[in-house]
Amino acid sequence: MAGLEISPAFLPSVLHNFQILMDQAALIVDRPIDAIVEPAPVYRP
Amino acid sequence: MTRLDHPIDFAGIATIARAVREGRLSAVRLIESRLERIERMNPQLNAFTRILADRARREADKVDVMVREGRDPGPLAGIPFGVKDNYDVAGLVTTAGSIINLDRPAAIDDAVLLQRLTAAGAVLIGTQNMDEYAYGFTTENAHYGATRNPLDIARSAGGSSGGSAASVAAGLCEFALGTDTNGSIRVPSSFCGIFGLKPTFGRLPRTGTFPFVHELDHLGPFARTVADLALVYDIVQGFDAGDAACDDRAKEPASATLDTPWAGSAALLDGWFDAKADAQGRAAAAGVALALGATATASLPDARSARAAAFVMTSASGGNLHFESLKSRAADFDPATRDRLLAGALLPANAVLQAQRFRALFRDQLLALFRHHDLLVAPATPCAAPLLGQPTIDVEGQALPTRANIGLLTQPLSFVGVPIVTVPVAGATMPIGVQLIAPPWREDLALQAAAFLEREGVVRAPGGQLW
Repeated sequence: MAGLEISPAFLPSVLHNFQILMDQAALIVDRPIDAIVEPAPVYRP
Repeated sequence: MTRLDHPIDFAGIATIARAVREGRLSAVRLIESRLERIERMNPQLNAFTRILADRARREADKVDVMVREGRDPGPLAGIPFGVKDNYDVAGLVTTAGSIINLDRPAAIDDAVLLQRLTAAGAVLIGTQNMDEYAYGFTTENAHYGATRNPLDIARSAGGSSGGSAASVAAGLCEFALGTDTNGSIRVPSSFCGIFGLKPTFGRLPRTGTFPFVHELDHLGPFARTVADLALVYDIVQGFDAGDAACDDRAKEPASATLDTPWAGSAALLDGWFDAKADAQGRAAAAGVALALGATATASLPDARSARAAAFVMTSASGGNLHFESLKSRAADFDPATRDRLLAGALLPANAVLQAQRFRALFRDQLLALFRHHDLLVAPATPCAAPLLGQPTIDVEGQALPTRANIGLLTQPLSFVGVPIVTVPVAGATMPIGVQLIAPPWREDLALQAAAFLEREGVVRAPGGQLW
């Protein structure tokens, strides 16, 4: 998954945490935000 | 309850440093007293991970020599302090609470903040325990052990800067530096009953510290009095080009205005910040708000979403930062850290980018409140210090996992980078912290309010005998 090989021993806990994250993400992904708002404005060339 | 029998020095940094500068107190003698105390108490507290006795004695001796030669060693002359294990200390590996980092080379230089403190005469006496890679709120570290709360050693000192807060609360050093990404200065301040400052994002340069979440990481001090906190904050301020997020602005010292009577407008945050706190936290915040003359409450209706966005950004950014180690050395992580980082590395880009963009929206909500109020008040933690190993805490009648939910009240606020001072309010058994939240770049306002509350006896760190 995504370049990671996750040990079967870790997988149940990883999936549990992933579900928690997706539940949190669900609270924000549908929020309309102005298209001009940048995601990460710190970078300076 | 298990309590340590410990004396705590309350002379204050300025008074102790004055005694050293005037030759009335030897810096070496001062350091020896703290080293003796660390030797006696640290085996039980596990606050310090590395005690730098040789360096401390060497630096203290330099201070004493300067005094004897009539030179001024600086405003922090001889003052012992510690730093969290994610600050670079020349000659040491910056572990960040991990064993994976032990393969990294030793730091060549001290972190910039540490350099500034040393130049002001302060003496580093050691590095302090933390949650692995700062990803936790309890400092229960699988590699280096749990840090115990000096007010009750059966309880958590909070995290992730738990070793730093416990050291200060126990009088092992006069102040300490920690980091705060989601609450890692404010949570341990709350649990250990001391003062903590999370400055504005971009105020203090993070140069020479090991990152957790670049876009959320803050550095800041812990102390036992507001005057001590402000003094250290004033000394570490200033731009450094080594941190891309550091704002190039002039120093704005806060110590000089601490005695100004509080005349600002404060409001108590309701909604999320009321619902997620227990009765002790709500009462503490209400008492602080009342003492500051608050007559209104204020709402941040998107606090829940802000916390969610911070949660997502943290996991994703941490998962990205440690991706190579997660691939090659997953078994070497603290399991509690590893499984969350692995989950974060799997997050879809849409969720991460949306979380980042949501910051602008929530920041505007918060700035709108500051058009009507100078300061906002909220509990720092959902409860006072839980027992070490306690699996759940009670939040709104629900048993929620302890480690994931202690930051419920801190995460939405650090998410948008405003400055916050955590002040300690005594409780029947354990203290609890209250957040004083100021507009961006107005650390002085939060510190001024904290000093007023301290003078009025509303907030205070645990007392003890003078040295």
